Amino acid sequence: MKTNKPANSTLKQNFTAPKPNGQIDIPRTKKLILTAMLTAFALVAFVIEASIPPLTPIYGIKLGLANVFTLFALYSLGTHCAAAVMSLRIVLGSIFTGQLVSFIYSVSGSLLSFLLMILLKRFFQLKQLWVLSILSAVTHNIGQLAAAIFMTQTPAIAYYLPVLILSGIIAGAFTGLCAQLVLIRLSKINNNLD
Amino acid sequence: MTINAYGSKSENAVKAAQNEINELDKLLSVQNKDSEIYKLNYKKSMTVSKDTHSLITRSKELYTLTDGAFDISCEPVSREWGFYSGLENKVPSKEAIENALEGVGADHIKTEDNTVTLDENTSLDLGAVAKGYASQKATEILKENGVTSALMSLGGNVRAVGTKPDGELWSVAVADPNDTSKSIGTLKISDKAVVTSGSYQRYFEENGQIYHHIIDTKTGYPANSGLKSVTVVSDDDTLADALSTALFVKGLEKSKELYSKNSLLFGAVFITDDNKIYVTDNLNDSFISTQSYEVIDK
Amino acid sequence: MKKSSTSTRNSDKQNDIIGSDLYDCSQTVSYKVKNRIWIIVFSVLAVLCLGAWLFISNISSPSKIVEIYQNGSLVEKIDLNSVTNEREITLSGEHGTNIILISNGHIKMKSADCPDKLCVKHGELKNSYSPIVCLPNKVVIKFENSSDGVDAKAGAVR
Repeated sequence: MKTNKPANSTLKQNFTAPKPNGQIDIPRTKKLILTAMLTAFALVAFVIEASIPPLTPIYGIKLGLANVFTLFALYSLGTHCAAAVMSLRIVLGSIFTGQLVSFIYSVSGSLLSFLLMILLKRFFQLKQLWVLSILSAVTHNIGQLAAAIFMTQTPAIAYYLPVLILSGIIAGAFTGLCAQLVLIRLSKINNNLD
Repeated sequence: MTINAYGSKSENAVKAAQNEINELDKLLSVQNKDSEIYKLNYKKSMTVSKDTHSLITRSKELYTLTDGAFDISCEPVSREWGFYSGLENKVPSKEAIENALEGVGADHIKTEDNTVTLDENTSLDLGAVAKGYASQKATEILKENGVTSALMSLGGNVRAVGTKPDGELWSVAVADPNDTSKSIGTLKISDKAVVTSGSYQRYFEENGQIYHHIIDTKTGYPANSGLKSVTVVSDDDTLADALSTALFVKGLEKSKELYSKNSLLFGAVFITDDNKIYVTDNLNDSFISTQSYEVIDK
Repeated sequence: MKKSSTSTRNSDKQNDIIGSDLYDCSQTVSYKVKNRIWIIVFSVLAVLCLGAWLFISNISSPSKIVEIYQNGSLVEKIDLNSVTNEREITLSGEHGTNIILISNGHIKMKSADCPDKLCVKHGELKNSYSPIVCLPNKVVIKFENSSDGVDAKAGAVR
């Protein structure tokens, strides 16, 4: 329909902003493209993070920046797309960083984390994405720890749990806030353009 | 066989101890054709080495101490039951057992200077005491080599030398006769030998009946004394090994008598056929268990 | 109509992103409260974990007997107190070699070919709670911990 639109509304023609709850309603093909983009971003984040020397000698303490994009996809595009972003990032990430060994640990951590995410997503609206992010970061670490104990047959590693929970809380809060803030800002574009 | 010795000189000490144990095994094992015992059983009279002589002499003393419950001349009877490699386990006839029992008894063994003479139908099997003797010798070697902390396990015979390196007592579990992967309690000890004899260790079944390897040399049949296992703790490994067999044969009541006369020499843990646990009072403070047990006073 | 509704929404731009809802005032309170609750929960948990970690990492093991495992099997058991000369143990795994340095009372990973070298950065082995682990090569260095606290079993089936 042709109506008089203010100048800044030209943006709206080519871009569908997220709704207040984070969801982006676009056709499947466009979702596919968006998913691919997010996967690419996640991969870049993952590879960059992997090339920075680790903060502490303890295995598994990292920021997990790639998770920002998984969370972003979860709230904007849905469970399936988020699953794609996460799994592709793990597989390709392991190949790109050349660490197939850590693949096993990544998978176990991410699997647990993702299960939790899809189970609890309904309880956490966009404003509380950060909480879900912390929970997913902590479970990711727990999953990795479990895999490490299994692979090395040393239950003694379990004593690392307190540190891993702590770092999960901090990292999860950070990545969760990133995803949340961006998504909320984007959802406001709708309001400014009408 | 495992020997875990701690300390700077432990490596050499362990090697020396292992050598000694292997040598003694070659010397004393009744099933080894090159052993002195095998030859003695064949020749019936010969000069033997110091170790063999002292062990046989000691065994005679222990025969007297245990009223014949510990008897190294049980070889013919054990043979009838098939408890040697190459033989099949079977329940022998009454006559076979009576024949076998003829040469049984320590008075059929004569020891002089460095020779041992057996009666015509007497044969020896030192299996019930050889491991104890070996661990005793091995302990001496470890100590001579400056080891003050070690734990040895020779086929189920445990020997603790000193305490653990940090000063703590060693924890030795007492196997559960009904499930050897479990234990019925733990003994906290230092500088002691712990030896267990039990019907569950070697047995066979014939016509629905179970026959185990601890023969009562008075009857010629597996001891039926109401016990499933006896664990003896002592400074003297040879004594512990011999007593574990002897007390099993004697049964709980007679063992209590022996204990009251020799309570300074050993302590014991008994498990009866109905799964009750009895512990001599000198082990009461060392024995830890989640199950209840009765204390045997001197 | 559209323009007027835009101007209402514009004013909400000033609101705090976290804890604010764009439409319903009554929902604002519950979000703020909910978020505060979660902040408290996580802060408490974080402090507890920090405390637990500091406590654990400062305990030093009384026993000085260490075990080196690779792929779950025991490679060697050493009494650190009885070590007179410094020596090295070299282990090779899927990701190259690990070199363990043993001296009197101390043990650490001297070098490793693994990608992250966290095992080297661990430093010396201090207590049973923090073993030196090289995940890629599956090497574990830890203090001996006898199962159920039992050192031997008497009466094992001969």
